[in-house]
Parts: sequence; structure tokens; C-alpha cells
Amino acid sequence: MSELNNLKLEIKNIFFNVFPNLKDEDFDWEKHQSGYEDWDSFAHLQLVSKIEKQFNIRFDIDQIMNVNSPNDFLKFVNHQ
Amino acid sequence: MKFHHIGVVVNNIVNDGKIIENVLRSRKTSIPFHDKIQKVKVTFLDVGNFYIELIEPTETETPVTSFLEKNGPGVHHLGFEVEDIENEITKLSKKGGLVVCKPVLGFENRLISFIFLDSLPFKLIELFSIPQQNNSV
Repeated sequence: MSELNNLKLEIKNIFFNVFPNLKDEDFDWEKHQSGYEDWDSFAHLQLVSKIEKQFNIRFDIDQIMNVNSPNDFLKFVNHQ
Repeated sequence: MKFHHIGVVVNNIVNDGKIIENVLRSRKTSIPFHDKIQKVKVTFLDVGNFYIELIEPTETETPVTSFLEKNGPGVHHLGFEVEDIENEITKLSKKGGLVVCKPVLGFENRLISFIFLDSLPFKLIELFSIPQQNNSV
């Protein structure tokens, strides 16, 4: 499995960890925050926090506000 | 850090405040304050060694509204008074804290900041500096 695929799998797992009721068919890399029923501000912070911990990276406050889809997280992590 | 208050989200700060006043025999309740930036109404109840901050959302699309819809009324954050807010933010950031809101001037002319810590059961901490003026809550 490629490094990118591993990365995607890890990020996707974090999403399913934060959103335990999320169905696989409802997960979409391009879908924005508003498309996810349970993605509120607390869930957003949980996602950021878990991704920081998993990949040992840090978001600054502007970056926290700018990530808005699974793909945004993927791009952010991939560019670290 | 000096513990100051528990922030509790409620549906109605007047009605819920009366219930809490009655049950906990709070000494004093502040006049409700409308925070137009946070889009909430808040009031502080003095229950002895600390305060309970009641928070009521005033608009439908706010983080507090979302919290209320998802969790119902309940504990939203713990508030701590600190002498050096930037220093405490740095310390909490090193422990995995996310700065949700950089220090801004808030009640009693205090600098206020919110830090999210996923490792804590209550998740959200409010830090605020000592008051710049001698106002009581």
C-alpha cells in the first residue's frame, strides 16, 4: 500500500472514530463540514486534536479554521 | 491557575438560574449580559467558593447552539483565572491543547481565551487574566 493510501486510511479512521455513526457510503473526501451531520465545532476540534496527535503535527488557529473537508486534512498532513 | 467557574449551557438563563438559585442557595446572581460576539446571554451565580456561568445561545447557528442540540443542557467548560495568560496557553498547548480563541478582551476587561483539550473529559478550558479594573462579577 502506498504512503498516501496509508495516510488516507489513518485519516479516514480518525473520522470514523470521531463520528461513530458515520456510514462508509456517507464518507466523501471532498464533502465539506456542512455535509456531515455531526461535524460541529467540538467535533472539528476533536478531529484536529486527534490528527495532531496521530501525525505529530501542529495546526495554528487559522489552519484550524481553514480545514473544512477530509481532503483538506489530507492535504495539510501530506504537506508537513 | 485559579479555578473560577463552571460554564453550563442551558436553554434559558432566567428559568434555569432560578432553579439553581433555589437548589444551591446561591448568594448572588449577576444581571444577564448579552455577548454579541459569542452570540450568547450569560449570567454568573455565586455559589460560595466558585461561580456557575449560565450560557444561553441567542442565535440558531452557533457552537453553543450546536452543543445544546447535541448534548442537552450541561457542563460546557471550566474557567480559570491566570496571572499570565500567554504563558498558560503555551503550557496547555504543549500538553496537546488547541487554542480555539486567541486572547480577546472580555468581561471585566479581562483577556479571555479558550483552549480545547481532547484528553480531558470536559474538553474546553476558558482562561482569563486578572481584571484590569475592580469590578465584581
